[in-house]
Amino acid sequence: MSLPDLALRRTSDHLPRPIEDPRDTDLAIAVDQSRPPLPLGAVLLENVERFPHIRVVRDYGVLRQIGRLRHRQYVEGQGKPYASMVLDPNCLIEPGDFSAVNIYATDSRGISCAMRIGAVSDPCNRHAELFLRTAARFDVPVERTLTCTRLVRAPRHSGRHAVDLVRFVRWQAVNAGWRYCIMQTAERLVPFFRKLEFLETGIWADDPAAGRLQVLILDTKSQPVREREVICAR
Amino acid sequence: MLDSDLRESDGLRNLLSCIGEAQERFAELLKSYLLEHPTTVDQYIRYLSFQYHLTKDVQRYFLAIAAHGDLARRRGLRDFLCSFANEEELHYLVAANDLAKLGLRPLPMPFDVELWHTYFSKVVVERPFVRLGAAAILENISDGVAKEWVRKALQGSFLTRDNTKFLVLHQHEALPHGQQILAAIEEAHLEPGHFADLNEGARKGTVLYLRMAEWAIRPHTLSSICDRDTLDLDHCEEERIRTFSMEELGSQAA
Repeated sequence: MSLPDLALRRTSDHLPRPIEDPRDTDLAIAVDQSRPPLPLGAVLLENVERFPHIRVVRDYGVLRQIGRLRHRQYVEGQGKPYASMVLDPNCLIEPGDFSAVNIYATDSRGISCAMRIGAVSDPCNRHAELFLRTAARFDVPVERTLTCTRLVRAPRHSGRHAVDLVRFVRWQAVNAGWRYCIMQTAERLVPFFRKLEFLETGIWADDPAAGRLQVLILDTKSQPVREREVICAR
Repeated sequence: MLDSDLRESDGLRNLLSCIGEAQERFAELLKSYLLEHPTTVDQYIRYLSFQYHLTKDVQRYFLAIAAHGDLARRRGLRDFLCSFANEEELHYLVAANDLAKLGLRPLPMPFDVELWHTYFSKVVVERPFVRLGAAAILENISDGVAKEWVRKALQGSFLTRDNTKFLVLHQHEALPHGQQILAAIEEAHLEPGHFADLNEGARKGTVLYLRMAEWAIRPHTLSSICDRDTLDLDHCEEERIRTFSMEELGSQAA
């Protein structure tokens, strides 16, 4: 598989900020991460008490439904010429779907939002090269870093469940030894991810299909919930 | 040559002819798709899913055939069927574990597999050779003229060592089940009525298997209108699939 033509570029002259060391707060107890993280497939399991509306994809029929949402959002809605690897028309399913873990949120009408989570070093990740270079530049250990891709929402839904998907991943993954997330997103979505504690790296790439994408990093500081949620809980 | 020998050789010849015809039809089906497209991952998921449902509890059929009174004086065939049941019993887990390596559970049972079990589980009790004829098809249909197309079908960038154990198991030359089953039939000195049932089962098995294969190759074939999205799989079965190891196949005789 050939890598997309992605350029690693900085948008400003400022030096990249190093990721800060973990800070403990009164209520946020950092998870001991001395051991290697568990595989994502073993980590991203349903947590019915904390996240009753979040599910993990295990059935091809559900993946196909998500693939249709993706096609509608990315290909039909945004005109991105992403290629699918399955016969189903109007359904975007890619090699990464079989090495990563797909999760989704539900409401009474079915799937509301979905997202794919993989190891940053997964060879099926189209942006692995860019992400690995970003990780190296910010001294982020690759073996503790995951990536979130293909965030979609049902057209009828506001998208608020996207926050729950990210919270779910953070809770499950940090408790299992993961710490960082590197991802890229369209510029208009950067404020959304900043609220979730992602930081801009100043690195962007021109994706042949998606256009300009900003690379963001989340350092959870080994805390399974956001600082803001900790403060609210005090 | 005695009359009974002649009748027996005619019966076997008819069975071989059924197998040859099934291979030709299977080759045509695969060729109709593969000439212009490579195999896709969703076709592979459908293939493994129908194999999971088709081979689950397969030992019941072979032990039911072995239990029939007509095998009382055909102990060689009975022994073969008992060994075959033991060998095949866990293969459904191999298919399911290959799917688990793709992060998926099997699809729900396709309607054509439902038809297979509904028909053969009923007929096997009184007419066991009908089911044995179908087994002769299952074990041989990928051979002959179909072989090169099957080989072509089983290529894809999504195939890895971890998710192709079922294929490797069934294509391995150390496991020539197709020849073994025909040899066991040949040595059993069957009567014309048995051969008639074998041929009937071979033809009906061909129809149903080719429908399953078509369901896997063409996701929008008629049978797909009965498809459901999710399989109800209890936690124990899911754990059984997830923790399955190929070493379990080797320890079956213990």
